[in-house]
Amino acid sequence: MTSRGTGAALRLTEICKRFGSVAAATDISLDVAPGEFVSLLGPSGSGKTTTLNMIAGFEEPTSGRIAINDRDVTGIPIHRRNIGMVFQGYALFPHLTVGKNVEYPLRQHGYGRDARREAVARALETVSLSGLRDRMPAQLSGGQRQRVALARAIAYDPPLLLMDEPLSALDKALREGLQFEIRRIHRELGTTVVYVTHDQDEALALSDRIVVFNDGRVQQVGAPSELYSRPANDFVSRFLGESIHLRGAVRESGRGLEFVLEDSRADVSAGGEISWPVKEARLGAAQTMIRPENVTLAPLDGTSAGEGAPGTTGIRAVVRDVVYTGHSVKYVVECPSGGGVVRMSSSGAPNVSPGQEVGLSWDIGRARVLGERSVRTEADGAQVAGAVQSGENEERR
Amino acid sequence: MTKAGTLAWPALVLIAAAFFVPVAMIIARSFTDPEPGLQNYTWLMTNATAQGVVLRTVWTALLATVITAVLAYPYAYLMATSSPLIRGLLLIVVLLPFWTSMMVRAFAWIIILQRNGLLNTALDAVGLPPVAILGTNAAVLIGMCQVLMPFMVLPLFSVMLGIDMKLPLAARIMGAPGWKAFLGVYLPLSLPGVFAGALIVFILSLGFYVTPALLGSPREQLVPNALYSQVLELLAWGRGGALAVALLVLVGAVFLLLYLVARAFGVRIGRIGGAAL
Repeated sequence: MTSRGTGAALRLTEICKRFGSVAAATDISLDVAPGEFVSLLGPSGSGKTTTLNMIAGFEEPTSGRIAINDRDVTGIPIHRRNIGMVFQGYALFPHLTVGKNVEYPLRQHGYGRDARREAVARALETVSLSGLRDRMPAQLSGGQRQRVALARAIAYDPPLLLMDEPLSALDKALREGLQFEIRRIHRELGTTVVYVTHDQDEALALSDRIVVFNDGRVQQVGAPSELYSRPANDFVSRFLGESIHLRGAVRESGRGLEFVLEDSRADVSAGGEISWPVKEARLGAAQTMIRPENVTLAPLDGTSAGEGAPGTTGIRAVVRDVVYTGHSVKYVVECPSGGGVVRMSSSGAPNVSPGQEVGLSWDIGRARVLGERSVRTEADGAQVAGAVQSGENEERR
Repeated sequence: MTKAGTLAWPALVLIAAAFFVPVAMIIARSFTDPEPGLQNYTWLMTNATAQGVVLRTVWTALLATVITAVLAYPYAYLMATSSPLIRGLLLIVVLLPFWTSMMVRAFAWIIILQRNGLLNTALDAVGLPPVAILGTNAAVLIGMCQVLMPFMVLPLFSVMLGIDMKLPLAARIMGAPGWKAFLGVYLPLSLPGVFAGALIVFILSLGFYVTPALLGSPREQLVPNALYSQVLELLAWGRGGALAVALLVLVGAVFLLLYLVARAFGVRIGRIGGAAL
């Protein structure tokens, strides 16, 4: 099947939303290209749902502008925005059959009888539910309801499709199957999708780009691989994927800037400080973040750790927990300057037990240096104090 | 029989002794008093006054049902969609009449509606002519609606509380203006509450005695008051019995009618699970 419609461009310009004295969203700016799949990712209360509700028109922004295909929709009533939406909990009409549910938006958009029948059949076929047209929503399983909700949202080929945690009520196996379908449908339709989720794996798997939210602000916007390998700040690095974080400082040396690990006596080889050159960083307290797959963990048998290949460096750490997860083994490690998670492929995983001291080594080229505690966001360059602190303001609807 | 079944015996005995036995006796009397035969029903069918009483009673009950439904629907909607604090306040306001005796409320209406009452004083103050409401069926209707409000509000509220407020929003984003989202989605889902409330209110309003006695007029009697005067003033137990049977038949007929209407609105109502009937 080829692409049926064309996606809309979506532009948010400096959107703010306040509920009384609480800022639910601050200075949200975002450009979504036609046909792009963008996820809004963040913990609950981070402002992602508020942002989605403003795009849908359920909430009006306190300030800022929302434009769909260069048409300013701020202040345009919900029903004239021409948006498709899949709700959390599906929001199927319980008094209408599956077919009537899918037909509802077509009626509202003035499709004739034959056009409606055809579009309903096509939408149900797209989600492989053609046989369930005359069922009531209450007679369907969770996964089937989800598909009906999807069919209803795409039935009239909306150029912009909003999805609010559509898979959060489903079990894992079903969720992965539907992720696959959502990707396929997105490819087939060419619709622009804005997808809200708190599940990092879902965002990584589905999106062209991810917008990471925290405390009502955009923390970083980028492709999944970019966010994963080059997180802009501490929050993004911790929220997306596993990592170890080690404290240290950025200082000037003869050759330029370098990062010095705090408490370098943790060095396996006890040969003094551990430091490596960095390109761009602010002077002073900082931390380094290393992804689990870039760290090698080895038992301390005298030689191995810390003296690996050129360009690697290493420290001592204590294993706090070992979790076998099938394809890999997850180690929770702790050392004086920090700690985190290391993963080793289960075939080559060393046999260590909690409490044991190990050596960690990593490729310094893959260690990312982040400002400590206060970081600069990409969006506006403003200081976000305490980016690690979790959102206290509850998400409002 | 299960243990729980055994525990239901006292209630069953009470209902049988306090309801079915007297009703059976009244029905029997309507055919036997003062002598065996159908003379009491002949009277009911041929006496214009008696027929007027029955028709007026049904008409008043219908009006009361429609008026309370129209007044209660937005009130219940407000309750279902407000914050818990406002909801609690609205609930107290609607329940207040429950805590006051029907007699006191009727007297309160007398104070408001009488010739030199609050209403006419207010009308006079703004230069409008006085109205004579007290002693008419309108006054009875006003008093009844006030008493019956909670019986309409509460079933509506409980059904509305169960309606997912995302549903009208979903309808809106699919292109429906607010009023269409209401008519196509919210209203059908709230119908079980409307049916439940209408049934309760209609049946209750057929049996009002104190309110019509105090606010109405003997010239515009309703069945309960006519029944009272037949039985206790004229000692015509048989005619009273015939009136009571007429009321019972009417309730049964309305019950059936509402059931059929609800069925026509569909099996749907049953499928939602909040069925009124």
